[in-house]
Amino acid sequence: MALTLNGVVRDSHGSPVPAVAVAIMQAPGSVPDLSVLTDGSGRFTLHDLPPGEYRLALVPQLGGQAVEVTVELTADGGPYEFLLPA
Amino acid sequence: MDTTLLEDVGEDVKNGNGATPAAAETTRYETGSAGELEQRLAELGLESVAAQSGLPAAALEFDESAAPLFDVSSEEAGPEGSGDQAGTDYPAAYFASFDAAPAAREDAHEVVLGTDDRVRITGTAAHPWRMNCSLLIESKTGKFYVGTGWFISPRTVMTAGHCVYLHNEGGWAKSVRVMPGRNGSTLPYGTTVATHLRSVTGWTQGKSPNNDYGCIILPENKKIGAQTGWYGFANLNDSTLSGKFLNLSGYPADKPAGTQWYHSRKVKSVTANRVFYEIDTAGGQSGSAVYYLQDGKRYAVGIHAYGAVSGNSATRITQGVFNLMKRWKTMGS
Repeated sequence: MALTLNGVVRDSHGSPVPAVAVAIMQAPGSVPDLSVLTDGSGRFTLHDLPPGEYRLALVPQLGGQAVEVTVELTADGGPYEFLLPA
Repeated sequence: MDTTLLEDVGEDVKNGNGATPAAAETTRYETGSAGELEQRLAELGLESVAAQSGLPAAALEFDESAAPLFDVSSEEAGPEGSGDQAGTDYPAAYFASFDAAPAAREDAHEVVLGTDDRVRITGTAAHPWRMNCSLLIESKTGKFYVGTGWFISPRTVMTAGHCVYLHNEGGWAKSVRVMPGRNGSTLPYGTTVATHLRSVTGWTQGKSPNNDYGCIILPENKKIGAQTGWYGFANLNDSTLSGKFLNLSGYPADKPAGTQWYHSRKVKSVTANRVFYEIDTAGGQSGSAVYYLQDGKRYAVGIHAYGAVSGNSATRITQGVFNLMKRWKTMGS
């Protein structure tokens, strides 16, 4: 089963953050080693993912602190919300 | 018998300042020997430079049949790009933001397979690192992705199929911005926007990871590979490939933006169409050359495409892939 992970990245004030590189660091199965950047609304989509637990690196390209998050993907849906530290 | 077919590397050219290449050339070491560490150190320029020797003789025999792969191109969907720096406001802001001193963000995260052993390459304007390209990919749907590519001719940049054809985002990429030898905000060979993309039907129609490879043909006035040099590539049989010590250098997005990172490990396993290894990688390194050193030259045996805890993997350069790469190499010569 291939799932889609929809996410949105926000700053500590709740505002969406564009141009954050989202890189999969650990996945429950084989996944493309392609990184996606968040759009102007802080949104991103990763396709063709097997269900399970993912570790993602969120690296702001326009300045700010990077963070690593874990998400359990069980079904299509979202968006999952991810917060960057202040 | 070692059934090997080799395609020659590009001429190693001097740095712009006339200095000798920063990266060391080395001699061949057999996997499992004490030479592995020495080989890695040599690739990182930490050992003395050995004289570069000529190409080894190629054995023109194969033990596998070529897959029925059909070359397809993005040109059906649009003309080749101008090659000038272009783009929307979004990439402009993206470029303006690059950290000129990426070491300030060395708190970046660890990679997939245990301890992160990747090594930051800072001399990316020098051979061989300048043969690697940071890619900024814009999909038809307006989304942006980060990948890696590498020269096999003056205008041909190899990469993963999913870096040029994105199944869930409109198919062929709208454009790919190619940045050879990039180091953060430094672009020693500029940036070229390309729209002539190629892959195979096994990927564009079949969506098979076994056929996940493609290339970018730069515009005719952008023979950047003539300045950087390019990788050779090789089709090896199972036993020869299984014994190799592999190298990979690319642009992982978990690290400071646009920085190049290198790692190397021996082959973990091979299948008819894939090569598996425990080289540390992360998102953004799709498309990187997976290569070995022989007589001081670098030969790709795979195109890095997938990450997994069980082993990262590349699309293997089979005879069919090899033959198509030769065609693409000619297109970009």
